[in-house]
Amino acid sequence: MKVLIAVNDSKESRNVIEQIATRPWRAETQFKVMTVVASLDNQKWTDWGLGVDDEDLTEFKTKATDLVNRYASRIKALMDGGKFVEEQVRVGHVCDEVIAELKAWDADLLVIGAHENKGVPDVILGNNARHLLNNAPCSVQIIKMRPVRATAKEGFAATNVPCCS
Amino acid sequence: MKVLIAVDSCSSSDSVLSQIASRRWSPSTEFELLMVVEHCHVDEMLRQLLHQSQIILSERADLLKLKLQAKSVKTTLLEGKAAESIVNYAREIHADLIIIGSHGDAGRRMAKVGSVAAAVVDHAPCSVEVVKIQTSERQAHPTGV
Repeated sequence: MKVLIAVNDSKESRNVIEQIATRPWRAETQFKVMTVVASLDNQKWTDWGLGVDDEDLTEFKTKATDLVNRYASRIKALMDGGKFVEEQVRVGHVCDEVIAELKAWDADLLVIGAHENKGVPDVILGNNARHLLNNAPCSVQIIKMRPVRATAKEGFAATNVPCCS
Repeated sequence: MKVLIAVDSCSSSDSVLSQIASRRWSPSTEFELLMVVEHCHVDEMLRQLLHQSQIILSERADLLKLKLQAKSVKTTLLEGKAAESIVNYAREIHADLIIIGSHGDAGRRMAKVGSVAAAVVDHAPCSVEVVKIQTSERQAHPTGV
């Protein structure tokens, strides 16, 4: 089984790593941690004075590489160091790149964190997570920060309790 | 860890169970199968639906129990709206993870996730795994569930 964990530098992603790494997995399970350096449409943004030059992009890629390395090391540490965890940094549109990686690697499961969507009751998924859920070619696990210990009496509409604080 | 598995009478639920059975789980993991029957105003029809659903639910629980070598797999049958019932029940039992198929038989040709799964993802008080049916089918039921 191939598990792709898509992350960014957020508390939700750190929570995903902790939760995934502390679960039991079959010995043959392969993990890959990936992040995407979001690139802007250079010509358009440059025209508006907001372009990213090569130096900026190199810096972003270095930071992204450090990030996935940190997460991969954390998984290995929590799994007694026995697992080989692949690392991947892509540049481009976040959703497009994650889906491309899922297809290229033939992943069985995508794991992502749910971000709190402040001020919008009952809608927890961000645009990227929603797009990935709908378009991923494999199963998707959306990790929330913690279970809300509330009673059923609070009902369906009461789920605007922060799940990602 | 409490895992709530939302199933329906569609064959796609078999694929969900296949994926679950192919994973490794902690011996302390508690599994519960949940099926929701939409309300029907005709009493006799509702009674028959509930009866048939209970049979399907029990069969699936027995299969899952066998494949997971679990001591027990609980089953719960509810009457109501699917997404709402799943979310409220997950809250009630303090589930840690809900596992649900991306869509039933009716939506199999759709690329996007069905409305029930999407609503559960949005409102669930815990993590949710949406099993894409075509993926598990591709694995050709490795565990034989």
